[in-house]
Amino acid sequence: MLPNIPLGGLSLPTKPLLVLLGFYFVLWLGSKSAESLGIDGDHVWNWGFMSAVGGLVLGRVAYALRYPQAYLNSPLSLFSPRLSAFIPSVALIGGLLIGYVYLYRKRIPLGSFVDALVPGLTLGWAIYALANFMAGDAYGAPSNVPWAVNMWGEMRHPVQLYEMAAALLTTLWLFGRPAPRGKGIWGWKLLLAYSLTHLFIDGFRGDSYLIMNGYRLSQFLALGGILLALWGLSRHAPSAAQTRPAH
Amino acid sequence: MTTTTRRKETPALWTRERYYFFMALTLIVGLTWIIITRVPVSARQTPTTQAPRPGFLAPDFELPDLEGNMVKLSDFRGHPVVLNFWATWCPPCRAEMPAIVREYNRYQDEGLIVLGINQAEDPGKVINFQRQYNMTFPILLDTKMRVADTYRIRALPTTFFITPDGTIIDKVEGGMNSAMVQARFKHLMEAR
Repeated sequence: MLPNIPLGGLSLPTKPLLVLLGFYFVLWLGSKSAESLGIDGDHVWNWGFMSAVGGLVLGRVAYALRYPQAYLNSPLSLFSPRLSAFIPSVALIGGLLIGYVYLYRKRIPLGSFVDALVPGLTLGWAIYALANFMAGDAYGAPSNVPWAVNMWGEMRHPVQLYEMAAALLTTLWLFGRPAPRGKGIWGWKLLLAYSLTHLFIDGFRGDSYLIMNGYRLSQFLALGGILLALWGLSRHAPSAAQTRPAH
Repeated sequence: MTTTTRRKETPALWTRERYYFFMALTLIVGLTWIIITRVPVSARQTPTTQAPRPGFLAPDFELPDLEGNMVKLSDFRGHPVVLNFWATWCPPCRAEMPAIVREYNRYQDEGLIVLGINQAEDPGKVINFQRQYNMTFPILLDTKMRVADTYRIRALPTTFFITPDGTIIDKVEGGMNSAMVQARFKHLMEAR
């Protein structure tokens, strides 16, 4: 764990820095990749900016609605730059919706755009897993496997490193046997790999959000992601009747 | 000389029907895995490991207050507790203190405990600050910053919110504005 990077007299937080770096790579690689698919690279930067800002604003508004009296007493607090006063799930979903509206208005095909983002997203995924390992976030359950790491006072599954390895394997899979680009197939494949990873790895997490009698919410979401990705891929596949040789 | 090669048409490996089959298979295998890896009841009870982050037991400590009485965190088990690490020279600490005092006054009758942990300052200076901001909650003197080390304090102020069973549910690094203070205290009181 290295939650902070000492730099002279300053102590810089590792995770936010890596997250910013990952976000930059997603957009930078995305803009390069988009050009090769006939999409203006500036659209990727604009999309990223609008999604991020829109998501943060919606996340803050949701937080204020959760604690209305606090913000009625101090309305200017709505504009505070502190990132800890917002609801992440609303920010994520809101940001994606705003990004979708941007693509719709600019008449950019969603499949092509997502495929353009995939190389950057895969790298960003690996960087985010590394950031979690550095900060000790998204940590594993206590374990005595030989490769367990000491984190928060116990030997634990290094789930962040499992996830990082999965992101790198996904890169090999995607680029080793490249599918045609521009139809959304790369996007569906990345969703499949990401969801499979979380369905499996989250079984070793130590900080999962639990529902019902100890089931992990993230695993149900991952299962939904796998089914969605397989359905998306099936739409690009021929039916068995089409593949039968004609007599 | 040119050579021509004839590519043999092979049927697609991944047909739509095969994807449907894998969807059904995934549903069965996935649900089975989710059931197998369900968190057991014993692991869902109050955490037993102490660590300075949400989801863990707050590390115990003992520090003197301004009158020289020793105050131990675990003595407040059964009460929601807010630990605020601060110093008089820190501008965000000064900025958030009136809101912390206000929320303490609001909830103290409901059992809320606030412990202000001063970082290695002269007690005279701390007493002046206490009077200036009408701080009626205990102020503890972390003269050797041992508790700050235990809690891995990297920035002032840093505030921990602890439920009556001793579990940290929230941690805020840096100053909070008035609305944040009110929201976080309310969240802690709701989580009792």
